[in-house]
Amino acid sequence: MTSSFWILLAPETGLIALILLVLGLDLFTKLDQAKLILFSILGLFLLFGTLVFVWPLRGNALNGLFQVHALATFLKFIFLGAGLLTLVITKEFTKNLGNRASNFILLILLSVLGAFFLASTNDLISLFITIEWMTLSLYILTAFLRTDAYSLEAGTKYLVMGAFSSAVFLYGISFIYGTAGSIRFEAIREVASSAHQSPLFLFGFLLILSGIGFKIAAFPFQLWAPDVYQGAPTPVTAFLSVASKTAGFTALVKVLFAVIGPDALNWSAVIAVISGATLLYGNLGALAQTNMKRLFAYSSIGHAGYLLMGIAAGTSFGLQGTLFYLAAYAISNLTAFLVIVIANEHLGSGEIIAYRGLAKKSPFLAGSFFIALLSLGGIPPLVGFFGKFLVLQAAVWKGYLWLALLGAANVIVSLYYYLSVIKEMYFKPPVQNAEQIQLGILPQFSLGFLVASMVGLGIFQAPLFYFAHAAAQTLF
Amino acid sequence: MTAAASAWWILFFPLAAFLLIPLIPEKKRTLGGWLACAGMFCAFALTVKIAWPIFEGQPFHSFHASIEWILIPNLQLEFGVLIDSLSVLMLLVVTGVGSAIFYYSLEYMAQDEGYRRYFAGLSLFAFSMIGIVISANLLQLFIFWELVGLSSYLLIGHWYQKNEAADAGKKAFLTNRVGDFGFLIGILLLWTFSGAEAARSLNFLNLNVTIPAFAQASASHGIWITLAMLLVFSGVLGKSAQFPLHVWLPDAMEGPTPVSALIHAATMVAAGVYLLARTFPLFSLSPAALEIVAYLGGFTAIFAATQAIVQNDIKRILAYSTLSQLGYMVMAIGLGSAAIGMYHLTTHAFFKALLFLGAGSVIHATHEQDIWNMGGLAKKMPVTSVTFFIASFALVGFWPASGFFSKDEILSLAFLENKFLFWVAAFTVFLTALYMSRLIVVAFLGTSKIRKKLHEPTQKMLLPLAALAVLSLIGGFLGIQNILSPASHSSHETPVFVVALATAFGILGVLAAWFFYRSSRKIQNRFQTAFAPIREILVRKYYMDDLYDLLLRYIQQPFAQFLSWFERKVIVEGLVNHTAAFAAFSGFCLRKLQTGRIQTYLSVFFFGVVILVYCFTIANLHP
Repeated sequence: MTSSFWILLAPETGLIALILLVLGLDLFTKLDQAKLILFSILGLFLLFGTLVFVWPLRGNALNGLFQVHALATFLKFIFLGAGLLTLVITKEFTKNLGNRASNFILLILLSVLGAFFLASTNDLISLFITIEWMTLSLYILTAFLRTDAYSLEAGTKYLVMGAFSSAVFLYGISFIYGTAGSIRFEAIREVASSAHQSPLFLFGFLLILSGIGFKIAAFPFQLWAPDVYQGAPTPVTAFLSVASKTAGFTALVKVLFAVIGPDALNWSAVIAVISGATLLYGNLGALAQTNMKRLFAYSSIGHAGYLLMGIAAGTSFGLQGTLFYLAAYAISNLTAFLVIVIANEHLGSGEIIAYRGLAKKSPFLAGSFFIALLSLGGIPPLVGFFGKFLVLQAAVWKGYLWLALLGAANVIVSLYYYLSVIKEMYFKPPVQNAEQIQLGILPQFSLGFLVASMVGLGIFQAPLFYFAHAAAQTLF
Repeated sequence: MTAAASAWWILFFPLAAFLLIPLIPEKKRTLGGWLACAGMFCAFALTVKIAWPIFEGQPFHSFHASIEWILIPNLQLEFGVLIDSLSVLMLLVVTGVGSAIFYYSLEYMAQDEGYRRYFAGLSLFAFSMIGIVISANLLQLFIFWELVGLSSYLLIGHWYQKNEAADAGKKAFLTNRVGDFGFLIGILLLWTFSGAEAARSLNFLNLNVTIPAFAQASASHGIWITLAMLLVFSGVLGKSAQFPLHVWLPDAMEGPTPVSALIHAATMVAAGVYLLARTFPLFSLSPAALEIVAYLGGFTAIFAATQAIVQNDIKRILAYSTLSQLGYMVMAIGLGSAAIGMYHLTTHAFFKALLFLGAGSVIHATHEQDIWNMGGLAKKMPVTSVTFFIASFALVGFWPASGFFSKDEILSLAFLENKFLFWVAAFTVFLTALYMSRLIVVAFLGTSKIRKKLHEPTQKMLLPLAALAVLSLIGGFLGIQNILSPASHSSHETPVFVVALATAFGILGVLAAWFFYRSSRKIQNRFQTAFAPIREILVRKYYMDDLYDLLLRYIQQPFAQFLSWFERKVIVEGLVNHTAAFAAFSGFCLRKLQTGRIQTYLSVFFFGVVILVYCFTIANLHP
């Protein structure tokens, strides 16, 4: 089925219109910053409608450069949801942004736009450009708090490391182009699936893999993550841990399944090893943390390990598991960050100890955090459990029993540090005064909705399961 | 609305009531009670709508609807409704009797502190019970089965400040645990028998096909089916309080009386019988299992009836009577007729709920549960007494009350199938008449021992009594037996001998009680001394509680202590602590890598690329 250009690009067009509108409102009216955020939230919310509209469509635009299929739409749902919730989180963070909140949200919206195009790309160069487009906004956003030394340090580290990895990425693309003679996915795949490739082709592929490894913070390219996550403004950390990671996985899935193909080059075992190492690094590193954002930096590295596990299986089922996991992780992690940003504002500290007695100060906040942590840890019947189950099952079927066992063991390790946070919240008395934390309507509603989704999708997985199934089928 | 949608709504209404009641402020608590009632009435109305073809005398078309639930590969589970004549009959009982009891509770619990908690619990129970009835597969049924266990626990312990109530709740829950453990293993066994790995299903409709196929595949499979069905039956033993797991039901009378009526007489304890009827096609594959079911049911019938004779608490007499009647139902199914078992379940629900509500009415007025402290109630509370007499009449099984028809079906079935069980059941009729007449003679007739003036309750309590009295009286003429098996009634005529014998035993029991308990104190005392040893055994409940106490003390307790030691020394000190130390150590090592210097990070990145290239070359050199 072919549809016209504008119909296929409806979500992107809508988002561009929203960005222009926000920019115009910011420049030419004296609209309150808080109202501008609310306006953007509303705009992004309405964009879900365009995604629902695009969901059944399949087609190409821009001369085959831009593809619309189930996988792209599935990923756009995650990007849009992450963008929307990052704005909700930003709303709670406005105080720290001063009069520059409008710049902040514009950068986030631009980053989401980059991610939208990334989900639909069909060649290596536009893959590179869109992912850099997304990351460029994030460099600025990470260093956004100009008076905060941590933020600046994080921004610098992220920029230097990012520039290095982009160079490696681009260098890899040049080798691929040199040996395959094309940057189009289908053309390269023909070369990859042939029996004899040039060693330079393999070399180029590995460089690209390293570049993507940086984006998803996989071992051994993960060292930047804890420093950057801790130093960045909390909304940016949330966006980095969900949207940027999803973007990295989008690129990885495209390269491994669309460009190379599941059966070529024996990449599966290497990804499995990386997955295991990433799991261990993230979860063991998290054990000793005392800062909440740093804890989540390590735990998100651990989650990248699980996400890689589904990909390592190299099957449609494994990819489906990874996609399910991505959505589950996005919901749970963003819930956690919404709580963290509100709690940090009230507690005045990002240390885990500051969360002592949170249950007394705000049962609702602590309860939402509780559910989010259990979902991240993979406790049934929450949605996170089912995601873990699918990727572990995929690994077992592929024959990586050791990896599945390692994943299961890491669930226990991760529960240790998640449960220590719960212990602080519920079983320790508050450190300072136990005054109640008042929540606004928007965070209350958002948390309620997110908790309901974690429980609801955990008990009835069918909608997300089939959504991910359709998306995974696109590449097989 | 389609019939399937109605079925979902029947399940939804009590759930909604359960979720909404806690939100109602204490000041407007009566709203909570009405909300619970509204949920139940709506469920009842929808059930009647579904069951309408039956009332019009047409055959009922069963249907099945489901949504996919758990999608784990090779373990597809659905969440569905299965509405056939069996579940419609049970739904009518649950929602119909339930509506009466919910309405009755409005007044009975009006002064209670835990009013909203009570109605929330009752709604949770209604939700779970309806869930059991409409479940389309065994696992879903098991989930709701556990939920009724939970709500039963909550409601028995409604007055948790009283130690007896809290203990009774625990006892009920733990005893059911024992049975349900076996039940779960039975379900898993059936699961493994139900075909090839990818095609397994616990759906009842599928099980009715796959399990017979499994049984026919090999002669040696018969023993496995027997084992699985007996394990399923162990769940029935717990829930329907059959020997030897019956011990919790008499103690459960610590709960509010409407709860005893609804949960521990009319519906929940009958869930075991319903499960037997639901899985009857599977049970019928194993004659050995059915025989055990029949004998245990018959034994429970007479075993419990003997104990009812020596009880002094009005609710405990009724509780033992419930045990005995449940034994009848189980026996009927064991003897090969699920339809007759369900028939007795239905009539029993009417008259036993009525008996409990009558007892509740008496307790509400007198604040007294010992029958020896009552006396002469018939004059003071005429309406309650008349309904109580009607219910007793039905329980003993005199014509034309409903109990006559269902009990005679059971007796004639036993007469045809198993003469020994027939005599057991017939003698139980005598015992039933004896203990019920004893209750009536002592509590309702004679001179009153209560000083204060007694009042009949208001219409909120009398209306359910009247409705149930009518059903108890005419239940035998409504054609309930035809819902399940239109042909069964004509296939075998009730032998006149059976009817005559049962009625004779009944009259004998009544006369014995009449003369003995109306006689002078002296004769009674002489009689009691003569039979003191037997009486002692009965009062001590055949030493069942003592036996369990010994088992717990000398077997379970040392075992638990061993496990506790094993956990503390081996698991925590040995495994957990060392694992934690190892993890902490590795975390410490990892942090060495995390220097915070960008030079380190870039070097590691570069080494990473080198290692990746190296590994990959190896992987591709050995295809």
